[in-house]
Amino acid sequence: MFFSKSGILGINARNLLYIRPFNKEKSVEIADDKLKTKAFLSARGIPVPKLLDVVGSSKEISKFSFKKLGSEFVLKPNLGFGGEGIIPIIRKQDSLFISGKNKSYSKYDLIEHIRDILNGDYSITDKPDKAFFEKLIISDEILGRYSYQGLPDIRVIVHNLVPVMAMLRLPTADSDGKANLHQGAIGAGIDLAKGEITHLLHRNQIIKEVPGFGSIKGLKIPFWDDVLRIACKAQLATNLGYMGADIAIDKYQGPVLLEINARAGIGIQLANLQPLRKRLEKLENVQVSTIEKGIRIAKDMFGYSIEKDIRTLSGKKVIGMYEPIEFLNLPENLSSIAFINTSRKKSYLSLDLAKQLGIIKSKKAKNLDDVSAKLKFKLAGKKLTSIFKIDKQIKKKYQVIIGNRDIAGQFLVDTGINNHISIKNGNTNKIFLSHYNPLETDRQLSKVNNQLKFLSHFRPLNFSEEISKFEINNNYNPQFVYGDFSEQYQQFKKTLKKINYDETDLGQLFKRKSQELELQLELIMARGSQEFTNVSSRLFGIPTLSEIAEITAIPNYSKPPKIFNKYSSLELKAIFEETLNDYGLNDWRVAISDKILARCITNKNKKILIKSNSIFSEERVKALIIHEIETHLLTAENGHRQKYKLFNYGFANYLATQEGLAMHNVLSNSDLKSEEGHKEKLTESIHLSQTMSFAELFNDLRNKNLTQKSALDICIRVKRGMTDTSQGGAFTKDYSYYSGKKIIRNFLDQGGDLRDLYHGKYNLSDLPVIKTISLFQIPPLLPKWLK
Amino acid sequence: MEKIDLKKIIFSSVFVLTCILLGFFGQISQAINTLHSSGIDQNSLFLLLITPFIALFISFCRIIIGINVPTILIPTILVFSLFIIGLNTTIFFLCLSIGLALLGKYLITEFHLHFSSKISIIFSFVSIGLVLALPLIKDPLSLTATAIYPILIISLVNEKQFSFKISRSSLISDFKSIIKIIIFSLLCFFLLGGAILSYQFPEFKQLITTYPESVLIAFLLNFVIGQYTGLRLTEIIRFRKLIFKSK
Repeated sequence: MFFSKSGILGINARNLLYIRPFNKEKSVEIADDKLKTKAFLSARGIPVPKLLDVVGSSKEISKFSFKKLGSEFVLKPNLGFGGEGIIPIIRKQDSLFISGKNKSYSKYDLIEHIRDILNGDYSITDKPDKAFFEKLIISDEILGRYSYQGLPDIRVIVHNLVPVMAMLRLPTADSDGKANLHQGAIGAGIDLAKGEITHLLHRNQIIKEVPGFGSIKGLKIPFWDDVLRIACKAQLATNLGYMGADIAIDKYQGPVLLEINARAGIGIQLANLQPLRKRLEKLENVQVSTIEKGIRIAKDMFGYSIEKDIRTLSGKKVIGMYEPIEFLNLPENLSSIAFINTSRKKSYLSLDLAKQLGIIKSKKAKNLDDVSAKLKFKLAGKKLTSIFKIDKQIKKKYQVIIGNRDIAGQFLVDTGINNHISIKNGNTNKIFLSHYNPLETDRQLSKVNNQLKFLSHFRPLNFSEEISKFEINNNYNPQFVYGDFSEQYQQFKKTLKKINYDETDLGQLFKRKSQELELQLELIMARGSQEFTNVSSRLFGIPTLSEIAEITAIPNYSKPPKIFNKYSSLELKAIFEETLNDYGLNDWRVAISDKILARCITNKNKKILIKSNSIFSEERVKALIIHEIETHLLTAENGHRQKYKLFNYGFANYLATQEGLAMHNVLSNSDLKSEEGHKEKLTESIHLSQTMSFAELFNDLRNKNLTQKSALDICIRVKRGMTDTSQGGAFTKDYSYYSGKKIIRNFLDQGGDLRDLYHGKYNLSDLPVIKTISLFQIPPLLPKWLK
Repeated sequence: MEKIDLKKIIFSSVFVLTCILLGFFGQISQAINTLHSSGIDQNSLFLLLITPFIALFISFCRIIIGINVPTILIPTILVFSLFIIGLNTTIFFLCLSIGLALLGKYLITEFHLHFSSKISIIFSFVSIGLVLALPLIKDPLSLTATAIYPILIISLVNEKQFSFKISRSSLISDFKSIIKIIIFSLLCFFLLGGAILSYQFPEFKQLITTYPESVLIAFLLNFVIGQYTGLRLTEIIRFRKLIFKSK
C-alpha cells in the first residue's frame, strides 16, 4: 500500500489492523466509561484519582451536598471525551468555587453544569450521562511548571504488554488548559529507555522550546518506570490489545492513571518523530509473559539512548567513572570501588586495601614502589587480570584506581554515568550504590531552605512590648527574647548531612548552598551570644573601614522632601496587582500583613507582603515596583520555571547579587535617590552598631537628621538577633544592599549584561555555572527596560 | 488464520456469484423496467440507484482522502433534496431551518427545561417556521414535491452534527462540520449529474439510467476501499516530515 513502507500508522491501519482484532467490545465499553474504568482498575491495584461522589440522575442533584467535597475537586462527565465538560476546582473563596482557570462558579453554576452533563451534552454518544467528582490531582512540579493552567499527562501506547511509544502532553494557553493535541496542547516525545523528552510538537509543527518556558529536551519524567508499569498493568487488566493510557504525576501520590483510551490517536508519532506501525509490527511474534519483561523489551527495542548505540557499534561495554570491583580467587571475595582513571597508565591499590589483601604486612613497609601484585578481578561483568601497584595518595572514597592499560580495548568510559558510590564507615566489604540525582539534591536543599524560615527566627517573641517600652523612653535598651531552636538545629543538621553531592560544578554549587544553610543554622543558634556578629559577618559580610570612610565622607542627608501623593497599604496592593497583571503573573498574590518587619517583601510562596497601615510616597511606590516586582519577583518567577528549584529559592549567597541588582535598578530607573542614602545609612549603622547599644545608635541616627520612624527602623534591623541590646553587636544582613550594589556596578563596568542576572537567584560569581544549567538563553521574564 | 481465510473465500464466491447473476442476466434492469412501467417516477428510481454511490463517495473521502464526513444520513438526504427540489430551494430551506434551530436553541437556553422538552420545542419552532415559509415558493409543481422536505429537514436538525450547542465554545466547530457536510453534498450532487450554476457532468447519470447494473461497481469499489490500510491523503500531508525522514 502507499507509504506503508514508511512504517507510519494511519487511522485506517489503526482501525483495521489493531483496534478491530485486538480491542474486544467489552473492553472498549469499560474504557469509554470513566467510572467503570476507575472501579475496575483500582480494584486491580492500579492507582487512580480517588472518587469523591457520583450524581446519576436529576433527582440526586437536589439532595446533593457540596460540603463533603471540600475545596479541591474535579467535576467530570462520565462518558465525556476530548477533555470537554471537565471543571477542576482548586480553591474556595467565600461561597464561590474557583477553577484552575481562575473562573469562579457558584453552587448553582455547578448544579447547572451537572444538569448539562446528565442531559448528555458532553457525552460521546449524546446519551444521558452521569456526573462524578474526583480528587484534584496536583501535578508534580517537574512537569507542572511547564504547563498552563492544566494538568500535564503522559500518554503511553501499549500493545501486547509492551509500551510502544509515549509522549508528554502539556496544556498551553492555546489549548485552554486541555491536554489534547488537536486542541493545541504541546506533545513531547519521550525516549522509552530513559524517560527523557526528545522532541516537541505543537499544532503538527516541531518546535524547539515550550513557549515562555524554554527548551525541555532531556527533561526526565519522574517515576518513569512506574509510569510504564501502570500503563502495562492497565492493559493486562482491561485486555485492550491496542491501548492508550493517560497517566498524570501527582505531587503527593506519584503516578496515577487518569483514563484509558481504546482509540488512541496517531499524533504521538510526530511528537516522537518515530513511526508507530513499524514498532507495532516488530512486536507481532513476540511472546511477553510478564509486565517487567514487556518494559524491558520496550526499553531495549524502542529506547534510543546513545549508550546502546555505541555498544552495538563497538561491541564494548560503557562504564562510568566509578565502578564496583570484585577481587577474585582470594580466601574471601573482596569488593570495593574502582576509580576509572584513563590518565594513569597502570592500576593501583590503596595502602589499606593492600594490607587487607595481604600484599604488605605493615603500613611502615618501605619501598612501596617496588611492591606489586597480580590480581584477578571482576569489573562491570568482565573478568580481568592485572598487576597492581600501591599508591599512598589514594583517598578513602575509592580504594582502587584502574588505569588506561586495563581499560583500553575493553571498555568505553562515559563520564556522564554517575554511579554515585559511598562506602559506609570505610568498610570495603559493604558497598552502597546509589544513583546520584542532582534533582533530588536540589529538592532536599530547597526543602531545608523553606522549612528553615531563616529570617523568622530573628523576630523577637516580645517585640512589641520592648519596642513600646523604648518608644516611651528613648534611652531604654530593649531586651529581646527568641524562641528555642536547639531541637530543630539538630534535625536540620542531620538532614543536611544526608544530602549527596558530586564533583561536578553543579554538585559544588549545591554543596556551597548546603554550607550556607549550615551557617544560617549557626547564626540562629548564635542569637544573643558574643559570637553573633562574627557568624553574621561570615554569612553576609561586614562593612570594611574603608567603605565606612567612603560613606561618612558623603555629607549628611537633608530631610526627605514633603510628600504630596501618599498611598496607603491597600492602594499599594491595588497598584501591585495591576503591575503583576501587566507582566501576566496572575498566580502571584499581594497580601497585607502586620507580621513583617520591612514595609514590603516578596515571599517564597508567590506572595508579596505589604506591612499594614503604612504610607508610601509616589516615588516610593515606583521604587517598590522596581525593587519587589521587576527585580525579586521576576527573578523568582524565572527561577521557578527552571529545572532546579534553587533557582527560585536562591543558590548560596544569592542575596547580595539580588539586592544589588534591585538597588541598581531602582537608582537607574526611578527618581528615588534617597534609597541609596538609606542603604548607606544602614551600612554605616551596621558598623556603628558593633560598638553601640540600641539607644546610642538610635540617638546617633536622630542627630543625623533621620526621622524617628526611620531611625527606629534601622535600629531594629541591625539589632535583631541580639538579646541584650545594650551590648555592641550587629545583624549584618542589610550590608548586602551596599555590597551588592558595588558588585553590580563592577559587573556592569566590566561589560556585564544585566539580563544574565535574571535566570533566577544566585551569586554573580556562579554565573558561568548557572548559564550552563539554565534552561534559557535569555530569561523569559524581563523588566520593560531590559527587553 | 486458516479459519478466516475460509470464511473469506466462501463469502467472496457467494458475492461474485450474486454479482454475475444480477449483472449477467440483467435482473436489475428488468426490475427497474417493471417498476417504471407500473408508474413509478424515473427520478425516484434514479435516487434509489445512486444511494450506493453516495455511500461509496463518503467512504472514499473518509478512507482514502481523510476528510471525515461525520454522518451518512445528512449528506444522503441533502443530495436527494438537491435532486428533487433543486439547488436554490434546498439552500434556502437549509439556511432557514438551521437559522430557526439556532434561534430556537438560543431562546430555549434561558429556561431551565429537560433535554427532551427543549428538543421538542425546537422541533415545533422549526416546523412552524417552515410551514410559514412554504408558500413563498412560487412554483406549485415543486411545492408538491417539497411538502415532504420539511419533515426531513426537521429530523436533520436534531442530528448530532446539527444540534448546536449554544452555551459552549463548540459553536465554531459545529459550523465547520455543517459547512463541510454542505460542500460535500454539493460535490456529490455534481458528480452524480446534478447541475450547479449551469455546469453539469451528465455522463454518470446516463450510465446509471442506461445500465442500472453499474451499481455493482460501487459494491466492488467498496470492497477494495474497505481493505485499505495505507495512509490517507491528509495523513501523508500531516506526516510528510516523518515519511521524508524514514526515506
